[in-house]
Amino acid sequence: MGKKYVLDVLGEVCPVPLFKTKEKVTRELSSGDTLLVETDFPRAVRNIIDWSEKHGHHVKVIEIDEACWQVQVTKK
Amino acid sequence: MKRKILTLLLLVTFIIILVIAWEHGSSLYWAAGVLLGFILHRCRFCFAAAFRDLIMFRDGSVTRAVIISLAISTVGFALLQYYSGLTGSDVPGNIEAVGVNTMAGAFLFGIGMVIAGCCACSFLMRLGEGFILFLFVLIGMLPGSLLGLLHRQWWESIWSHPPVYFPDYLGWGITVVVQLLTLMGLYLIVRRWEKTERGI
Amino acid sequence: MRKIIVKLLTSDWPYWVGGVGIAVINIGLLALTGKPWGITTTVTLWGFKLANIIGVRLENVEAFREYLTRLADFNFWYGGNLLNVGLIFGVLVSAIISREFRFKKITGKRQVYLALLGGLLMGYGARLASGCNVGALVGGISSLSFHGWLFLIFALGGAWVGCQIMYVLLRRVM
Repeated sequence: MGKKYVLDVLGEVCPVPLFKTKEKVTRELSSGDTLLVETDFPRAVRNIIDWSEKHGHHVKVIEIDEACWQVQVTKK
Repeated sequence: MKRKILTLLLLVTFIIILVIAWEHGSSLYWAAGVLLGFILHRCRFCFAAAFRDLIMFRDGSVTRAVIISLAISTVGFALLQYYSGLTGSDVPGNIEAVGVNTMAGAFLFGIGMVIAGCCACSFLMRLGEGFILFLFVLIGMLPGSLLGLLHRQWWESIWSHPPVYFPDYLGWGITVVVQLLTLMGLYLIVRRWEKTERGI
Repeated sequence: MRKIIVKLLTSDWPYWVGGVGIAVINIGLLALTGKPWGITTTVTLWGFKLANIIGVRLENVEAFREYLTRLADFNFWYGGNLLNVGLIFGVLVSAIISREFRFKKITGKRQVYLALLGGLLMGYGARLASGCNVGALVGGISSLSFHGWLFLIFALGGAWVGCQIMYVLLRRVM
């Protein structure tokens, strides 16, 4: 089990959520760590999933509240 | 349960406005607007993203959708314009002069949409999604539009040229074929660009 | 059957569906009204309305004459206004039925300043170039007019500059 990090981007719009996710995942996480991104912007959810899949990171989404999601990106 | 009532309420509002708009002869616009909003939101479509995601994240998925859209509407518009030419009426569409005003306007618009995080189309979408923030974009846009109108002549006076309508110069067939080939080329360039990687 | 429809209406659709949708509706608008889809002309009229309400006198400005005549028959039922309001309404419907609507909080002053500045630039630019991404880029290119392509080239340049500004802001400030 890797370490868990939390990134709160509630209320932020593009390009902030994906940019911050990308920075954290590529610079701070080591392989196996998971970043929990909390966002209320549907487009950001899709963006982060697309980016993660493109780069081979494991990604999972759970709805934590109405119109509020946690995207879990596990670094490959 | 609450959602069902809300949905019903929205449906009733839609129909009431549709009926009243019918009296004013503008129900078509209302129906088209609602349909566009629904489709664009379900697709998470955004013109600003077509530019920004391509540059910042090397993600051209929206850009490619815009290119596909342009290819389809090019054919549709050309047919309608050709048909109106046969009946001798004015050419329909947005055919405007080109000049320094177009270049400066597009450039400033480009900067603005990346900074604001939306374009003129997606700021309306963000409002519908519940972003209060985008009211501030609107507040900025209103005086901006008036200022733009006020200064337009000055920009035009630097250099401007009457509208360039391609079929007048190249003929119908060549214009459409060249434009479709250009769009196809752009599509391939975007595909290529997506495969390049830069670690930001 | 009902389940399939609900699922279809509340799931994510691929981007190309949006592209095809825009093209089809735009062609329909051109065929039935003679003008393609546009947004910023109406936004400008909103600006005139607001100026009227807060009491700014604009009658004697030559550059505004064309818009002032349009303003005469502008009300809620004006076609362009219904297009814009309808778009917001359509998004609202889509967001509510799929549990995606929520009043999003503003995270700070920085967001507000950027929104105001971005809006100002977009309003100004759209009026200079006779349209935004929708009216000038999509409407212009589809109408086989050169100004649409010119808009595309310079908007791409502007977006590139905007991205550089955002890089600096995101790295240093946010």
